[in-house]
Amino acid sequence: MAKIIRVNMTDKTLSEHEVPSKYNMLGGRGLTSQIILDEVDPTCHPLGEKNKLVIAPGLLAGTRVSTSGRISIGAKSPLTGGIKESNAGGTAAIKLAKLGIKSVILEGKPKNDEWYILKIAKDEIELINAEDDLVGLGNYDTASRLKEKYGKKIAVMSIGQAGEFQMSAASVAVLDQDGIPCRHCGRGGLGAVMGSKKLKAIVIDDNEANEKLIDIQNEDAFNAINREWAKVLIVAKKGLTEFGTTALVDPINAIGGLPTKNFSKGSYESAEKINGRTLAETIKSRGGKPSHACQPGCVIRCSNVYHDKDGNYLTSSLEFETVTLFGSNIENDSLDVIAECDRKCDDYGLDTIEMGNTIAVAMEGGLEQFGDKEAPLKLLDEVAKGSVIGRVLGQGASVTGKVLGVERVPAVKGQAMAAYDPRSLKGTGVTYATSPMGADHTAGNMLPGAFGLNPNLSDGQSEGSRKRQIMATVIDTMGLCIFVGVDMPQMEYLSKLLTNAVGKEVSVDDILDIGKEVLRNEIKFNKLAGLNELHNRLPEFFKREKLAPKELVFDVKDIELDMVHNF
Amino acid sequence: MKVTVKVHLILTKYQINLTNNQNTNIELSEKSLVKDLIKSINIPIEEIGMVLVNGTIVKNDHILKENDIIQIYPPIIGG
Repeated sequence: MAKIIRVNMTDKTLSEHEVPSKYNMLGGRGLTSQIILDEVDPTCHPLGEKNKLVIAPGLLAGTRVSTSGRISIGAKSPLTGGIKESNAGGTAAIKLAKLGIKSVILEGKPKNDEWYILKIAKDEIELINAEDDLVGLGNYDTASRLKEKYGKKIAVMSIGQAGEFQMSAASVAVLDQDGIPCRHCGRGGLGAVMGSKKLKAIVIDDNEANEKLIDIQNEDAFNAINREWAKVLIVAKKGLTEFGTTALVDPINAIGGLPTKNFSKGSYESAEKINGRTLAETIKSRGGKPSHACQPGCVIRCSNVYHDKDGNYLTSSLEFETVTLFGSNIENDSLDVIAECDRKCDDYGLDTIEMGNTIAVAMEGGLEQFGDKEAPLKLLDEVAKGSVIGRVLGQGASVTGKVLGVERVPAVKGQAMAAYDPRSLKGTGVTYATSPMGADHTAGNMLPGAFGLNPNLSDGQSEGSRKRQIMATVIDTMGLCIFVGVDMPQMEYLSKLLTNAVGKEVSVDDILDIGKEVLRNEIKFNKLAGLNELHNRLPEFFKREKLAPKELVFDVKDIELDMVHNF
Repeated sequence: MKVTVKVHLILTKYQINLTNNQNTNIELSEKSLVKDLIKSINIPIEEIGMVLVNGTIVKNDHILKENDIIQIYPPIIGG
């Protein structure tokens, strides 16, 4: 029987609850957003006792569906001031599903300065005082210590120094299937919310657990559809398997949308030094892994393991966003420096998208020089130290821009953009502007070729973004990775899978309705929190400054942005 | 007429003479279309996501001319 766990951090009480029937067809983002709308005061302070940190595996977690092991975390965001959901791969969701836990809701806030660890195992949920010397550690050391104490097979969700300092760029780390803290619920400062509740880590041990979150009614049919879908994914996603997401560097550069020198140019002359081929060759020559699965059962395996010049492990899951924002966007052409930045962000518990942008804004503000290869490493270390400048940077690009008097801050609702310039990828720009999550590419990415649109032109982008936002919300609610594809064929597979899972017809329209309802919930929360249509705009400079080399501006009309959520 | 072709690394498996971001000159008959070029270098059309001619995104029926630089990409996924 699936259950919801409540952890009250004010009085340290733990309780188990039945799942209300209205949550039955929800999971992942759909469930975190619903619970936040139902239970969190939208006007609350994100770091105060009234905010809640809600953790939920997806609706399909624990099934054999490929990529279904993503874990969602939600709260009111200290970065955007609105609702937030951020998800990651790794092993946490699969283990929670096996323990029959549909959601963990962390509420309240300790009145003292003690730090805690939440341990979840079969028939045992416990809030433990964190040992003094665990506090102040990065995610790598935290994971090692916890695995030593609780066993190698545990899943861990933890915060690093940034979360402890309650910084708005703080992430929550999730161990991958090799036990490495390289998968992160990165966006929106959820690590700060966890830090505000004085929770250093959650340990999940599924030893001897054998529960299910979803009881599959027609198992044979479900498995047959799943096998067929997996075969399709293996063929269709081969590019991601071989080269990972950095295969995007070349095409995004070619269409003039690769953020360069703090979003002041759309093309980088040294792109070939940081592109998919160079990364794959570098990894292979040093004995790393160019293809790697972050969670058991993933057939796409887009991740990687990167070794340093001496052949020693440095970091995992070096992604397009990280490579670009710590590469071209700060005019750094060294993959080794990018990999070191990624390692530091993973260890200190920082969102690489927010921090790549923050350092670019800091460089524009004169704190360091673009192209200086030591600078990003030094600045990230300041964040982990908690120095005054580190505290500024750890609040993200928007705060850093204010402190340093920089106008060119590529952020919406306070959250910095991913590695697509919205003047060149206009549909992604529409999503950045209108997503209830702030500037988030995963909320509905409009990559070239999507719906047959030319990304450089504004025609049809609002409608395209609407469709993608609805479908991305569905994928996030199922707990799947968006790399299965955010498109109609995937909705059709999900319709067939869910029909056989629940034993009654679940049409494609029903599936899309789930996505629409979740988005409506999120928009409703944001309105109650004071975020409205006027916050659904890109920063002014995107409409004014022409982006070289294609001389493009963001010219999707405000009235079209206001129509995106008409559904 | 002569055109210059660059093929994205994911597509290079189809054409050993073309490598990632290396300029390769190809002879085509006058007024060839983008889709004629794609056929001539043996890449299945369904594997093509985006084509740029001289930096501008074009459709498959775009007419090529002498000295055009053509970039060919698979459907763009990931991010």
